[in-house]
Amino acid sequence: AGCADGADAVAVSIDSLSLSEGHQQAQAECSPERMTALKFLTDCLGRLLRCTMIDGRVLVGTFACTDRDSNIILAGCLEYQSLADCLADPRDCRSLGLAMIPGNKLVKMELESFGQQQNDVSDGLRSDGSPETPAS
Amino acid sequence: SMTSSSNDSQQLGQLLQEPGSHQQQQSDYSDITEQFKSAACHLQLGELLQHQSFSLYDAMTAIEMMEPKMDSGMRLDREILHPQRSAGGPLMKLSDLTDAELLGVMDESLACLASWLDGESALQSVFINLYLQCIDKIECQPLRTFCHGLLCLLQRAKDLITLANTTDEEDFNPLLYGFEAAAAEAADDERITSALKEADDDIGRRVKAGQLAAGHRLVQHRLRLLRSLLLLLRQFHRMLQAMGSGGSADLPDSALSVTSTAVVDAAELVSPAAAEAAAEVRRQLESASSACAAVAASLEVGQPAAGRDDPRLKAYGVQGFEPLANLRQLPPSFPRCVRVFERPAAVAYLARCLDCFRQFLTDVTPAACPSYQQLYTRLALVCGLSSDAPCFARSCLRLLYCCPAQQQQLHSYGINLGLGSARLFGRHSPVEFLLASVKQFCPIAAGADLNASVRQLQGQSRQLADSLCLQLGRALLHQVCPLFSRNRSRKREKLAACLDALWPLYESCYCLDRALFPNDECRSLFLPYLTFYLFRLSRLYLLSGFSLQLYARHELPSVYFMLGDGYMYFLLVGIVQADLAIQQQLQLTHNPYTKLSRQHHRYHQQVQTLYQHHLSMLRASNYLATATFYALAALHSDGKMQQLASPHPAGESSAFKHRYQPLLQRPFLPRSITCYTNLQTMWDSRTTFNGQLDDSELDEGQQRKPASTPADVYAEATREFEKARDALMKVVNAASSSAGSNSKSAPSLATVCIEDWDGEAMIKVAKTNMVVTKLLAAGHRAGPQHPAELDFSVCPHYPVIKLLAPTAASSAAVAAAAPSSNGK
Repeated sequence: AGCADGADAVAVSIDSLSLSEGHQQAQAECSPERMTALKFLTDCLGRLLRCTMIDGRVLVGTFACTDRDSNIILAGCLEYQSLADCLADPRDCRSLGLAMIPGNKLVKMELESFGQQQNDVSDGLRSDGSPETPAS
Repeated sequence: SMTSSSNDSQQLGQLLQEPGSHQQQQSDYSDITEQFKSAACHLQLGELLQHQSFSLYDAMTAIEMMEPKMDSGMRLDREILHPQRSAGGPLMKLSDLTDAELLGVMDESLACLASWLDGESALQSVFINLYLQCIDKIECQPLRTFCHGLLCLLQRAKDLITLANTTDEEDFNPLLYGFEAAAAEAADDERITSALKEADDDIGRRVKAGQLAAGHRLVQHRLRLLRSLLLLLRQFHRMLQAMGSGGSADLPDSALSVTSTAVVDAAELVSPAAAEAAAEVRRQLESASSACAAVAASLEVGQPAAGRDDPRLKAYGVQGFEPLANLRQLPPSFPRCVRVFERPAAVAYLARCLDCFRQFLTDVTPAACPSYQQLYTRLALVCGLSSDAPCFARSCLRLLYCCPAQQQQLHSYGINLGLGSARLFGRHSPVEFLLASVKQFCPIAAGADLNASVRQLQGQSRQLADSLCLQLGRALLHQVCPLFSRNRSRKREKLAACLDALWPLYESCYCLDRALFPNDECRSLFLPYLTFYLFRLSRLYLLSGFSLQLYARHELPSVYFMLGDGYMYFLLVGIVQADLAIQQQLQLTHNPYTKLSRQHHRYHQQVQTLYQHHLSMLRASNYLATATFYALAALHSDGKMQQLASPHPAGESSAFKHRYQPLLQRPFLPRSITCYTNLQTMWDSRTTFNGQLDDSELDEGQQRKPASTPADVYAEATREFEKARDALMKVVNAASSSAGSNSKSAPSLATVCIEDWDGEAMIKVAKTNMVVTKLLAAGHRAGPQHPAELDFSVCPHYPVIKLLAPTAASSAAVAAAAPSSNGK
């Protein structure tokens, strides 16, 4: 029951047949480490994530989804050819829309600290509406 | 508050639409890589952590990065050329290009041009030549003028094709993706054609003087080709302008009516300016064709495009070409790798464009007063050219025969040919032309002078005649002629629109016939004519479903029902009756003892032959369709083909109505039974042993057919196949024997372009199926343990029935179902 609190966090299993099973498993594994981890990840949801891939490209987008292998889905994703390009001219980018980065192609992930939280988007970002301290 | 609208995923990203907003955040990012990864490990296998408004559907539509098929921006091992950064480098030399390199660039550009004309997007065909983006930097003069010429040609061709408005979606992509500026700049074709000539002459001089290798002569051919193409287009525009506006297009409908005496002004068509321009066009055409041939003969010299097959891994191989350069301007998903034409194919494509151009310029020059024969030939050309020709040629043809040259009016005519187009009809009123065509269809019914009889009509009948002729003419010319375009699904839609336009005229035709021949009940003229069209168009509509693969297996019986006795039959009857009436009259009036009568008789017979020929073709395909229907019914009841049963019998009636909606609007339905009920009756009576038919649905007098065994139905099918085979052979033999004598009988409006007719293939199908059904009728290989399959490879519209070897599954199924079934 205690686990269920944090999961506005929508931990959903892909296999819909085993939804209840997954839920049960989640409940079974209610360890504090898992709870912290889930909370951390949930806090990142909806925030800007800057990811560097193994070929040097940088993708900046809103963190929308992840899974166990750290495959990340970014919404409203912008692609830069390199970090230098990203910092030098933020307009020199390509808009990709929704992009999925396989976990094994990720080198670095950077989370933006609280800054660009506009009201109309932040509704729905936090479960309780209060700003969170950035994960460090 | 949590919103759950589907737009949320976009909303999520909306704060990022302003890239500048990042600027403040540069210092605000913190590295969470390790933390993230270790946190993610706590998720279960298959468990997702997702934002509230993120759905599984979204997950499926995301682009996967670093996956070559989806990620077009992926960094590759090789250097990707950039128009500014790579210019001057070894892969994109600006000067001192060798012969092979220069010719490689030019030939590959021509290949890209052909691909673009064929429908590829400019960004992935023409503009992979990066020289086009930095022309001013090029020091090699031939290359520079070539690039200028190419851009100019691009702009001209695009203007022409978009003006003509003949293309559907995938035929042609007019977007120039922001390169319009460069193209417009280069659009001064006076300057460019003279620059091309200069470059051409310059090379000639230098080769003669020994400064350049002889191989450079080949460059001249390419320059000449570009130049002639540009001049061709320019002269073509001049010619169109000189020929003036459409003449009778500006007349109101009342002036175009059959009973008016307005005269169409066609003087401009044959003015000296027009003739001169036409001569110029022809000259440029010849010059372009010979240049094309010279290019085709020397394609092997240019540097080949080695990396054409996999541009991701290999450099393209031609100086300055980079297929991946422009991808950032395309939408990010699914990087389509465009296959540019091979060079020989590309040159052949351009040559074909020129050939088509030549064909409609020399065969059908606009003339002031063409004979009806010439008119028919023109229309045949328009129809025939439309289906297969390159869109460039089609566009030129449309512009040639279309009405006024002003842009707005052209666009407002849409796909219309222009009913009053003087270029097409000369001085003839198109309505007169229609009457002549009708008369040719049923000459005896028309009598000696149809025009006079029509003009004699009074009052309401006259109005009817006027409006009907106008509507019919408009429908036929506007809709039937432009029907045949490359895009087959659009064609199907257009066919449906044609049928919608023609069916309402059915009643008017009947009334007009009665008004014209008030004393002669059997004599009808306009009605069979219209019915003939409806017949052809309906058939085309049904057949188009095959090439588009629209029909599910269980729909096949209904398709053949419609193609055969179920629907087509009624139309055929209408036409055939008129024919029979004519034949009878012919016999009655034929007096073998007078020479005049004999000559008269022979003439009518000759003219009739053409229509009868086409009627026989259609009748033969009718038989074949009916035969196939019977065969399918038998196969189904014999258990050989289970897939013929509809998976949703309850909704079948409405599915049927949807599928055949354009065909089912016919008025004057003789009975209250719908087509669908007919189908049910015909099918059920042949497939069920205990025909559970609802007697209340039958009309009075209609007998319920006794339930038949599969053997009976097979026999029925065999007989029909035999009839089909005989009819087909008669048609094919008649066609081959009269091919020579066709010179006397003119082609006619109603018979241009009977598509989808392959007599030989259909004979093969009929023969094979006849044998198969005969065997099956005799009980050979009966029962579901010998399944059957339909083979559409011989003829795409009519399948060959193939008996398969008994499979374990079918045998087991039979054994399980009925232990005491018939033995093998």
